[in-house]
Amino acid sequence: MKQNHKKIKIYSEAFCSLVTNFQEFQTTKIMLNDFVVLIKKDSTISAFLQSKSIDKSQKVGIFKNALNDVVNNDLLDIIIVMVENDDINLLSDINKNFLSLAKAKLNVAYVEVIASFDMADDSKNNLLQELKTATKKEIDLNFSVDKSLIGGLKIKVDDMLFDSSLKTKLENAKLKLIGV
Amino acid sequence: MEIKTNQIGDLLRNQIKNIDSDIDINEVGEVLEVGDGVARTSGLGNIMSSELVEFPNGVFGMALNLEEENVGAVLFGDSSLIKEGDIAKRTGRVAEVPVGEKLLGRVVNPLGQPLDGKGPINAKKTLPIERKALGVMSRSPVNEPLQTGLKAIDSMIPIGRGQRELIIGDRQTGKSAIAADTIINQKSSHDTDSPVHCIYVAIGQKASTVAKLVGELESNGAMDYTTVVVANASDPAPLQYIAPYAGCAMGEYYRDNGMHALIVYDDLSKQAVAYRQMSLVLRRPPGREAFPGDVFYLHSRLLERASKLAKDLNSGSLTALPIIETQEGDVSAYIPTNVISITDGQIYLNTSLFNGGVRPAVDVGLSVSRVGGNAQIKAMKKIAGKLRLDLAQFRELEAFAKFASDLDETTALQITRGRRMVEVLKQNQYVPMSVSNQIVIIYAAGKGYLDDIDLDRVKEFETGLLEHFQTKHSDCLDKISQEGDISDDLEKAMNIGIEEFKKTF
Repeated sequence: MKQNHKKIKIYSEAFCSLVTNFQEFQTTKIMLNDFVVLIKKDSTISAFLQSKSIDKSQKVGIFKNALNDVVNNDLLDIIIVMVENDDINLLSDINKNFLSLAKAKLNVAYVEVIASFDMADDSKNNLLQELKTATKKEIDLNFSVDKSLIGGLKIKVDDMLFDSSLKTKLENAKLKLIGV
Repeated sequence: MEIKTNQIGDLLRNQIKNIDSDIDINEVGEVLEVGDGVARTSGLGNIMSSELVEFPNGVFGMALNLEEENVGAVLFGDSSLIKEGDIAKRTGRVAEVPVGEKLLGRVVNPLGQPLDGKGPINAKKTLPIERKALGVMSRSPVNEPLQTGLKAIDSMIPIGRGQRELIIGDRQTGKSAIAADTIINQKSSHDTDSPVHCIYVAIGQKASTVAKLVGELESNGAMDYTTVVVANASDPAPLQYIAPYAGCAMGEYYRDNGMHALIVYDDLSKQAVAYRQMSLVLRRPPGREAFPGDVFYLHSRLLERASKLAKDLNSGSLTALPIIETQEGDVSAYIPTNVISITDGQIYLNTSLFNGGVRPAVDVGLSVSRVGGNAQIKAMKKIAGKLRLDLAQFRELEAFAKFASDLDETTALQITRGRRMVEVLKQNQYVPMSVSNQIVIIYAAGKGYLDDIDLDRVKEFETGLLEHFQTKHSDCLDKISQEGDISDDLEKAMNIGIEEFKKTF
């Protein structure tokens, strides 16, 4: 467990050293997310990576051939080292650690906006600008729609939740009425 | 009255402006895993230790393990209502309970929520359940008696206000009965200027047992000054863990306001077991008997909160009667030795005495009160000073006499008197006795007035004697309770009263 923790730290720091601006952060984040999803959900790839009968050099070769033109060389190098060391199963945790390290390094805030309706692009842009001004950080913005909110928004900036949804207001009113 | 459309519009617009536009702002985390009454959450980076955490569906938890990567919170509600990915909100409050007189007569859970269906508790004040015990300068030595109403205890193992006296024994030896009798006996203190309020904390007990006890307290009129805090066996371990602390906070309210309180923790063995479960689920390293390393501190920080305050802090007191259940009389197990070393004495209840009909089954040899005579009125001290020693000698002689056919006169007398004293010290449940009555009967037995009474008639003699004193010598009883001492004149009057009755018996 402790050993894994150490490895996760080393790999995530390596990924973090590759990103020097917000754009690179976004690209690396998307790439790593895709890898995590692929490894988790694609049974062929996960069986290939976990197979003991396939030689490591063969695995590395296949990775290199398949991804040489699509993935940044430095990123690919780290992934290949992970394959060589049988550490690719740690990618999900590495990704999480990378996100927190990179956010701290590049002063990025992770913002999740949940609305009761699909917001127009203009509104999204306005919100983005407002959030940038308020947090004085680059914003890693993620939108989603949850109709159960009825109205209003939920905005989660890192660990802070700003909840102006009608659903929460009604729930609070209910608790007040029953005297909790 | 005629209202135009534009006026209606204005009225509505004004009302809409006044709609509560407050935004709920909370620091939140995400539930990573949940199970066995514990939730692990990410985030919540600024959370305090023991802070309350709000989960969906009205479930609350308390943050206990603050780690680099996550926070471990114990849940006070049903963990099946929480799932991975749920949001956990900080509340900014440490766990606290309502305190004050509004809680008297109520049965509540360890969060102070009513369980008795008597409506909400409108307490004005709350106190955190975890509070630091008072320092040396805030305390004064224990010097005021807390009468249990039990002859065996008030005479030989006196308890003082502010003391911590452990009640220890195997299952079914009458531990809870002693605590219940003590609570019932505090009724008499409510006729004086220093009433004792009581808190009974039931931990890990069957709900039916607690219901029976509450019924007994009610029928004896003791619920008027008592609060019952219940964490049943079916409640989550975290509730059982915080129950004593919650009860203690309720007791501290009386102490800090110059009043007197008595708290019974029934029992701390079950609290330790609940804490062990929580600690193991929180992945804290197990130690002896799989209890975590800080199980001593679990009880020491609780029992240190019982105290007698100094005069400049209004001399309030909180007396604690923790209960520990032993297995096969083993007082050297981990938890019993811990609590014995923390408390100011113990009342040890013996299974063989209990089965032999000696009830309360107090083992005089193993029981002790470290406060001693300071917690007794002078009159009791005078008549019961040698009682412990005499009884111990009697037990030895009785054992020895089983092998001897001929006994000298002194030894035979000692055995005769000892047997009668043991009979006198027996007492039924839920009939605590006033200190003046106790003094009269113990005095009579000690002076040998019962030596020629048949053993099986001792109880009858006792009842008759006390009735005789109440009807014909009530002045003696009044003097004892008022003066708290036995003067030569009073002793003479008592002798006359006893002899008078004996002639008619």
